[in-house]
Amino acid sequence: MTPCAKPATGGAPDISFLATPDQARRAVMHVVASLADTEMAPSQLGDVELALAEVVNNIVEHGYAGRPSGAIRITCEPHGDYLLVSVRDQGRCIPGGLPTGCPPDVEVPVKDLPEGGFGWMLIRTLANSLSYSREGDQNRLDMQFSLRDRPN
Amino acid sequence: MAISSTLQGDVQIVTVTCDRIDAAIAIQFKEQMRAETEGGPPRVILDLAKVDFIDSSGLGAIVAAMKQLEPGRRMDLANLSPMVEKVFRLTRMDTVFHLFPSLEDAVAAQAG
Repeated sequence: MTPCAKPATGGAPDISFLATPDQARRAVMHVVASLADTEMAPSQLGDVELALAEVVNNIVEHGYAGRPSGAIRITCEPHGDYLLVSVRDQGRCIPGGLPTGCPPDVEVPVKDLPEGGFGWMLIRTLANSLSYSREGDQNRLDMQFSLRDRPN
Repeated sequence: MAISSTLQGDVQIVTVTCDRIDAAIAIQFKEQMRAETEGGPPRVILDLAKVDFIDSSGLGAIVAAMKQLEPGRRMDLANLSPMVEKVFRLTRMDTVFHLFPSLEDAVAAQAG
């Protein structure tokens, strides 16, 4: 399966792809390139790109772990002052719902420094709001990003 | 290859030649860093000038590259783009690594 980008109304990104690291990278880059035509500032685009990459990586690494890889779909559409980014997949559900995103401690000896575990903290920090639902065999994560300038 | 390196006195300067360090390349990046830095001088400077995006997997690969250096060796970072610097700041990894605004600053810091 190759990434399949459908031109949606108003040019809003809508892309489906196979849950592999390479296709995830291409899809995230495609979505962000599509948003470059909007009035979003580079720092806002960077926030969307990072949060989206973290969500999609989680699905590739955990959602479809131990089962045949499946599809991931990303859609983006403006909702008033917000950009709504939705990610859908048919992998396993997120056990216990959305993680709190408590970041690992970095004030530790070098040998114990964390090499992961930051994903949900980044997603929660970068998105203005998050919601997760499981509908049938499908996971849906919605992230909202403010389209107004905001301090970082 | 995602990296290349040169020796400048007692410093090994490793230049990242790809524009993303993300989940798709994190494992190769870590392994290339191991091969490139093994047995090198005490100080490594990682030049991130060409990198405009990292995710938490890429960050983890940079942390891993530092941890796999032999005892007594250190790794500093130079030329972080605003986006890359933000990832280090949000994860507080900016308190673990020395971040230099330019390669010149990073190299000069050793003399001081």
